[in-house]
Amino acid sequence: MNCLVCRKPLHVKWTPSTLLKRDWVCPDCDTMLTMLEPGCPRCGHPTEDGKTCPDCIRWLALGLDLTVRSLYVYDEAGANWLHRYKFGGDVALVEHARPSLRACREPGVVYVPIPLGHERLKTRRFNQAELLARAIGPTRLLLQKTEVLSQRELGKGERRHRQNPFAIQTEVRCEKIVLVDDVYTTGTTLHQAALTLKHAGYREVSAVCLFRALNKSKTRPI
Amino acid sequence: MGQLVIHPNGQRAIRFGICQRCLSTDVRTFTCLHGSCRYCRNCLHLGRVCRCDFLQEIDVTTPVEPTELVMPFALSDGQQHVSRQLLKWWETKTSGLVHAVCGSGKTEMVPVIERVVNVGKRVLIVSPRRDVAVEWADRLERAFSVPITRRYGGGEKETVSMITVATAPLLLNLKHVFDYVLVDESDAFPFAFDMALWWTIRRAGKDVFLFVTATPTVWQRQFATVHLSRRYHGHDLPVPTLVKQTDEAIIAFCQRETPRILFVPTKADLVRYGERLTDAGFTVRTVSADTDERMDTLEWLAATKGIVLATSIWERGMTVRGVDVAVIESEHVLFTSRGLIQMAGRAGRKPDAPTGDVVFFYNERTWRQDRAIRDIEQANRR
Repeated sequence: MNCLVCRKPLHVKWTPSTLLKRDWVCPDCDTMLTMLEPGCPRCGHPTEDGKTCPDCIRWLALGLDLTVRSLYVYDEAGANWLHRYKFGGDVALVEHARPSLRACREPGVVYVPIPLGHERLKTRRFNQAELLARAIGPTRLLLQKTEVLSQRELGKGERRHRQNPFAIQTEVRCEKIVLVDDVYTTGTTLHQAALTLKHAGYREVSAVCLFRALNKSKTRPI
Repeated sequence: MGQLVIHPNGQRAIRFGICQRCLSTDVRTFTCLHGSCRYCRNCLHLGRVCRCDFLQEIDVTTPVEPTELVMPFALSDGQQHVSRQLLKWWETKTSGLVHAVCGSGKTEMVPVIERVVNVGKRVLIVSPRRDVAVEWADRLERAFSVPITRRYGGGEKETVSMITVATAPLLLNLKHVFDYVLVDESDAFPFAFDMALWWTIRRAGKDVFLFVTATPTVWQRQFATVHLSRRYHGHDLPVPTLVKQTDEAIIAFCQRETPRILFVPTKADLVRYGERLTDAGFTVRTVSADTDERMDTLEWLAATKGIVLATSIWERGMTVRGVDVAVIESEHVLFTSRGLIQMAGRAGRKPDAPTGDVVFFYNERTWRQDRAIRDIEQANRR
C-alpha cells in the first residue's frame, strides 16, 4: 500500500475493515496541511480574540454579508498541495481533503461550485471547485462564468475592482445555498457569486473554502 | 523511435488500465469533460495524461553534430586500459560493467563518449540522484564542445541533445533514443529496488549499456566486466579496522584532528548518538534524507574539521579532503557489504590526502563486515 499524497510505501495493519477504504495517507502527509484556527467569524482569518477582520468590515460596509467557512491555512504546504491538485491535475488528492470537507455537510443544503470559464475548463478538463463540492454533498451547477484573465499575477486592488463575471445558468428550488471554492484570497470571487445568487432571489447564501490565504502582515504572503 | 508526445493522431494514452507512457497501472478514474475518464498518477511530473489524450511517437529532431574533446587531465595506466576496453565494447555493441573502486574518477569514460558522439549517435548518462547528475553535467561541459542537456528536476524536460545527463524518472517519455547508455552508480537505491525504473532506462536506450559501480550486484556481474582497482592517485584503498564498540572507543575516535564522519544505521540512532556525543562535549551535525542543507553541512565539515553523524544517504557521491570514517553498529542489517564498501570509500579520495582511517565499530561480527573488508583487500591486491 502506498500513501496517497507522497506515494511512499505505507504499512497498514490488516483488518477486515481495511477493505472498506482505498486511499491511505501516511501520518506525515496527514498533518501536512494546517487547520485554520478560529478567528474572524465571517471569513476565518486569524484575528485577536475573534474580532471581525478589517477586510470583512470593508465588505460589510459595501452591504455584502457572506459567511465563509475556510478549512486550511494557505501556507507553503497548502500552496504546493493546491498546485498539484489544480495545475498538476492530480484529482485523487480530493480524497485527502474529503473527511474534513465532508464534516462541513449540512442537511437540506445545495452546494454550488464556483464555475470555470469555458476555455479554462477545456484545457484543465475538470472544475476543481466542483470536485470539492461533490466531496461535501449534493451539488448543482447554478452559475456560469465569462472568461476572465488569471488572477494569479494581479494585486489586491486590481482583484477587487472587477466586473462581476457570473450569471445564473439554471434555477433550483431550495432553502439554502452554499458556494464552494478552493482558495479565499480577497474574497472578491465569492462575494460576486453570492451577489449574483441574491439578485436571482436566493435569500440564504454562505460559502465553504478549502484554503484561506493569510494577509501579508501575518508572515504568510497571499 | 523517439519521444512520446500528446498529439491527436496517436494511440490512446491509457489502454487496459495501463499508462502507455510509463507503463504503470496506478490509474485513477475521475470525471473529465466528457464523462468518466482515467488518468495516470505515476507520470504526473511530465504533464498529466488521461484516457482522452493520445500519445504519438515523434522522432527526435535535434541535429546530429560532432564534438571536440578537451581532456581535463591525462589518464593513468589503469584508466587507459579501461577506456581501451570500453572502445572495444562499443565496436562490438556489447553491454559491460566497469567495476571501478570508489574514488577512481569518471574521466576514463570520456574517450568512449567522444567516439560515440562523433559517429553521430546519442549518449545518455543516468545517475541515481540529482546532485550526482549535476556533477556529471558540469564535468562533461568542461570536456566537450557540444551542448549538454540536463534532464533532471530543475533542468529542461523537453529536449534531447547528443549528450544527455538525466535522472531516471524524467526519461519516461523516451523510447529507443539513445545508442549508448551509461548507468552511473548502477547499484544505488532507485535502480536496485525499483524494477520499473530499470525498464524505463532499458526502453530509453537501444540495448547497449554500460554500468559503472564500485559494488556491483549479482545481477550486474553477468555482464562482461573490466576492473579498475587503483585510484587515480595510485594509492591503496584504506582498509577498515574492526574495533569493539564502546563509548570510550567512539569518543577516542572523535578526538582526532581531522574531519570525521560517523555513519549510523537509522534516523533514531542519529538522535541517540548525537545526544551522547554532545554530552561528551563535541559539536555534532547530523545528516539524513530529511536534511535540506546537506551541501552546507559538507562545506562546514571540510572547513571546520568537525564531526558529522550521517545515515547511509551520504554513502555515495561525496568527497571531503582528509576525512576519517567510522561506522557505528556496523553489524546492523541495513549496512550491507556494498554499503560498507561505499562508506569506506569516502576516505582518502583526494590526491593530496590519499590516506584516511576507516573504523567499523561492532557489537557482533557479521559476514557483511568480513565481506566488505575482504573485497577491499582484494581490490588492493589486483
